Amino acid sequence: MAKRSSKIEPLDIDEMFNSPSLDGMLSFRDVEPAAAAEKLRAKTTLDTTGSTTPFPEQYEAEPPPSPIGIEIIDLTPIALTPIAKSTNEDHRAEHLAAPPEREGALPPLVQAPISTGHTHDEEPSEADILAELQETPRPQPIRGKLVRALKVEDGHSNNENSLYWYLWRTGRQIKNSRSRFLQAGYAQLSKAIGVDRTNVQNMLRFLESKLSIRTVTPGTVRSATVYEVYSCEQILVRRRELGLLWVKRFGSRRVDFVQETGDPLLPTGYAPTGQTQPRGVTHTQPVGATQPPTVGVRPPLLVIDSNEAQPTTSAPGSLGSQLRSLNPAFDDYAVTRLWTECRRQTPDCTIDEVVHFVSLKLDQLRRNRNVINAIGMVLTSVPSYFSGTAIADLRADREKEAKELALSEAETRGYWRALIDDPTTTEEDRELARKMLSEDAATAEGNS
Amino acid sequence: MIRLVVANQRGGVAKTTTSVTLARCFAEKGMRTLLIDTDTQSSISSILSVKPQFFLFDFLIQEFALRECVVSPHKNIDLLCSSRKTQQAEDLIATQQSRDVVFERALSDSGADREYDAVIIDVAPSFSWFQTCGMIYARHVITPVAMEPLSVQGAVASISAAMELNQLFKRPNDIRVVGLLPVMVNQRLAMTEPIMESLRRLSSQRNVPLLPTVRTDTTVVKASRDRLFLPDVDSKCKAWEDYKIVADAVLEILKEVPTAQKG
Repeated sequence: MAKRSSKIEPLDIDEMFNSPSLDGMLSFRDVEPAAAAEKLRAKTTLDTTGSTTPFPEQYEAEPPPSPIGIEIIDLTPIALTPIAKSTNEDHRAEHLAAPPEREGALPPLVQAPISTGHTHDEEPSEADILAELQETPRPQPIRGKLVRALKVEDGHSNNENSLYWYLWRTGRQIKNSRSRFLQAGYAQLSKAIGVDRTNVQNMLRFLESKLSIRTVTPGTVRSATVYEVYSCEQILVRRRELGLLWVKRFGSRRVDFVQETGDPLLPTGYAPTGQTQPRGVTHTQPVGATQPPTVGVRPPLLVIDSNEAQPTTSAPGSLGSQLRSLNPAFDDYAVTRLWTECRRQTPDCTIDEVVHFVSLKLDQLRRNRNVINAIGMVLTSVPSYFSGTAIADLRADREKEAKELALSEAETRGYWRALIDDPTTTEEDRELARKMLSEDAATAEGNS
Repeated sequence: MIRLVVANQRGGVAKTTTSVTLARCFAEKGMRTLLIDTDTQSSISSILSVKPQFFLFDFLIQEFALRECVVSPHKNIDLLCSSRKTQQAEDLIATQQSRDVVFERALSDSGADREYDAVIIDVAPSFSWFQTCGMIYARHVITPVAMEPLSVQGAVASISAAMELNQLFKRPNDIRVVGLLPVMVNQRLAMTEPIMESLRRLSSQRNVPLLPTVRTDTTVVKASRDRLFLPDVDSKCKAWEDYKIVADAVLEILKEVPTAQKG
């Protein structure tokens, strides 16, 4: 018969609490966020902070530099200088003339010296080779097409554009607001434009970063997000204010705002999940519309291609505002260039004259659907008005109008004076005539 | 609003079962309940057979809306599921300065405080960032204890962790274990009584209430197999009856918690 086991004693709670195994339970907290980020970066080999990397991105996928010996052969065309004549011709001749050590053996190979000054007797160090390689310019593959964003659509990819126009069409105008408002969930938007929900979320973020929409009220568990959808005019003005003038188009699927030089201005593309920032992290490159993109330098507006004529004079500020009232796509560069070209043709041209011809041209262009770049057309065609008879005709017309106006005003004044001089005029009419004349004089004085 | 973390540093002590069943109990009482799974094993989505499109990672890291990430396995219950990427989320959270209040911030921003009457967070057995965040957010911890010594040791570790966090943030008794929940209790086993006695001592020494026991019940396994809640398999099973009593006891305890300690 098996022996009955003894009674089991309860556990010693104090001993458990004093157990050394409980020490350092929160030790994972000792790692500072920066150290954790560094560790994570090392682990994932992804730079989540957005700091610059020593090599361009396209080279990161290449394997790390191999040990010496293998690299020399592979990289000779890039890094090594051509085989040069040895300074010691005698030594070279002697070396080449030396008989092979054994029959059938190949003659000794002449090593090409590395341009850092090593002789062929001394092996180059790895540091020397790396320094040599880094000095050699690497060919930069051309990616994306850099274009100027003149229209709202220029800053959108095809899908973003579809989403924007859906939001605009569906949105409601409230009171006198120029923008429209819309409350919509991802599912609705996804269904409407036939794009996956995740992509819709990404596209909404990008539309916001491209200043096309704004989140008025973030969505909650029960209610969808409310968006403000800006009009095309508003978008162009907002983008211009923040210097978002150039885009890089990667086909029809991705468009990024960049600086004029092509350097990135906003976070580019749809970030992979590994590179996303967690909630609460301050973005080094803010993407929200409410936060202006502080990264990079605002592109210099007056820098143009070296082939083009440099604007020599700055345009008056009122010209810019008047032109923008006609078409918001006029930026400072376009205004300055237009003013310079017009002044070159007719040095005494006025702002009114420029605005007059631009207005005429824009009216024509609105009826012509074949013209895609209206501002470009204006910049080309309007200065020609100042070189021909058009400006003379305009001035003649205006002079004629001014004369007719002056004549008409003189006639009116004569009428009021005659009324005052007429003895049969009642006192009430005479008072009215005096009042009209005084107002007329005040107006003339103000104009002068 | 009730916020609860179900934690024990020992695995296999019915943390997930307790979380799910308590959520169902609260839902039956008409409370809108949010159940959050922070365990990378994503057990809750497995045992309830839900296939969400987005997960905790998407909610915390991608900043998706809460309503996009939750699924509703039952009336009044919303479930925010975990996935294998939860570990990645945890790694990223660790790089933040405000990493302790990630849940607090994310759930407050999403309006969860207004939308739900109860939030239950199921955590992984090992002590990690999400367990810390969950404890700081919820401030109330329930510790299921199975009838074996290592489970008690896990409970001790949970109590100890809560105390350490309180010391760390200099907020005495802010995070507290509001109940030790004996689960898988089978009085016929010799080990049960010593463990219960240990729990009674632990309860009296550390001033942690000892909740009513939950008896061993094969329906729990059946429910897990059938991917259903306990009462959907057998509404009269022992475990469900016990959990209903536990839920009442928890609500009663939380009523007595001073207002300052309620979320």
